[in-house]
Amino acid sequence: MNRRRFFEIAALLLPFLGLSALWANTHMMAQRGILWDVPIQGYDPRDLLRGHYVRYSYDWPGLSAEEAGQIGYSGAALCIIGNPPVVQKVTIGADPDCSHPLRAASGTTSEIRGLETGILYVSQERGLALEKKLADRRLQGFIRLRVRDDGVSTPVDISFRPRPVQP
Amino acid sequence: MRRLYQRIQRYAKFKRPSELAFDFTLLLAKLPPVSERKLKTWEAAGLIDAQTAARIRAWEAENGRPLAIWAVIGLGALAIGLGLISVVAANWDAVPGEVRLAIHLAVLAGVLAFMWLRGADLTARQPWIFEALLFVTGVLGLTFMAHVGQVYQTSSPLWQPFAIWLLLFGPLLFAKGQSWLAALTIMVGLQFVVWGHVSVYGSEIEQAGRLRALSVYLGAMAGVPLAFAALGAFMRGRSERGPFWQRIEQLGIVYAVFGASFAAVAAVDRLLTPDRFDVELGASLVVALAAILAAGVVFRARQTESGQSTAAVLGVSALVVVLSAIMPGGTIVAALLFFALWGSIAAASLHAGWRGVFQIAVAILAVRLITLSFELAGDLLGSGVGLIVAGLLVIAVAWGAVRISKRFAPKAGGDQ
Repeated sequence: MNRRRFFEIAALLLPFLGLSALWANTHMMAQRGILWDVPIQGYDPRDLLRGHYVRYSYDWPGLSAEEAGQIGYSGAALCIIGNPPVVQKVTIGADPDCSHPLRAASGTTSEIRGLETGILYVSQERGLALEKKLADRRLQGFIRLRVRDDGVSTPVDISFRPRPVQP
Repeated sequence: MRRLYQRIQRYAKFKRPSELAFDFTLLLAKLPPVSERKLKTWEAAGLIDAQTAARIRAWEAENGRPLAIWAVIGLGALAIGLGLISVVAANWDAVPGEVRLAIHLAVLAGVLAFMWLRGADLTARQPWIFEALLFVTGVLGLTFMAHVGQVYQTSSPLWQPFAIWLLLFGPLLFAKGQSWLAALTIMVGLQFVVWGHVSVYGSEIEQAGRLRALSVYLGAMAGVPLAFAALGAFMRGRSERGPFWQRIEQLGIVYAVFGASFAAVAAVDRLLTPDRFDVELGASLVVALAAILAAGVVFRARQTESGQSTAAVLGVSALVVVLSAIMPGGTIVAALLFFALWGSIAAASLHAGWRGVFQIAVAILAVRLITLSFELAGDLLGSGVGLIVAGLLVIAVAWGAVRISKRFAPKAGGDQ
């Protein structure tokens, strides 16, 4: 086989092999990590659906309103305290002793993978149903997050539980 | 006429838009490059004999690559690409994510295998179909990464998937590209990588206060696409796919001229703090160095008038970018820089015999002259007399531009 032919095969094989490897790697990484249920709110009732995903904002237990305003930047970190998947509370900042750290993905648009808000890709039908439920005040939405040891999180799914009736 | 219109309406009623587009493509693909009617008219007028007409037909059928076909194939490929994106974005629930990804990858593998088996044949006979196939392959690859992100709910900064895409598909596109569609695809991908990277790391470096590093980084990133000019010029004479490398070179030049024009227009305002001024000057010097390096390669690789002109355009672009950073801001300065840039391009076109480029340069200069007059006399549109003066001025400039374009434009056919 001459060199030219070799390069031709390599150029044709490279995209296929490269993308296969990328998929395999993503698939493996997606199995790792601990699952947590974090309470959420619909981010904005008028703009819940843009394309085929749902936007939500986190309702971190244990964070004051002031603290919750300080985690919007890329590189922000939280520490989750609780028994998976139940989040008891979170503390702000990167604590080296934290056993369940969580950090915002650096470089990604903060509204997609920040600690304030996130998005979950769903089909259009499901998106509309979720939108309706998120707007329902009697239900509390939870996002199930898969958090890897290095603090990187990916959303898994949204579930709902009845909100405790307030006197 | 009316009957024709009714027939078209009746026809269109039973066809979906996609079918109409397909029919239109077939129709255009069948159009002979030199109009058959023209040939018949010339034959009837005794300008050419029947034999010559037949020879022209045969030659055109063999060698003609009409622009219309390229344009339509490009549009078709673009439509397929957009379709793929929206199919992926639909994110159906009915099919599990892994199955969807497997189908996506299988389709890509099928297209690649087809190119492997039939590629040589296709490039020889229907290069535009091969080119469209190449583009669709690229889109399949890019959407696959979006698809993976969707199924696994992962996300990353935009420049990353584009960088991976460029690494995986760049070799294929460079090795197999036939014309502008492949060249433009690579260039657009590269732009996403460069500016996506800058949007993430530019602010990070700035926040860290490393201003010298920032200026080198910005200049180097802005200079990367200029490598196209050098690469294209170098490969043009060495590859059998000359037209493809010519497009690569042209895209590099267009990028340089576009950047220099932008710098010249932006020189109107100087609202920069001294720190920012240093960053901009440093970045300008670095990117100018990249442009001059590219100009040197072009000059060495193509020792023709066209090569000299191309190198000169790159050099002037570099100069204008640096001057835009140094000169004090202001309307006149910005306009002069712009005139210097495009005046040089017009002069280079005369030297190399680029007819189209010369005419475009004259038109752009005329438009800038008109906008300048409004900038200098902002109240021109405020009064009746002002409006009349403005109208006369616009007509005079347009008339002058058309005259110059017609009178001095070099004859068509210059090697670009």
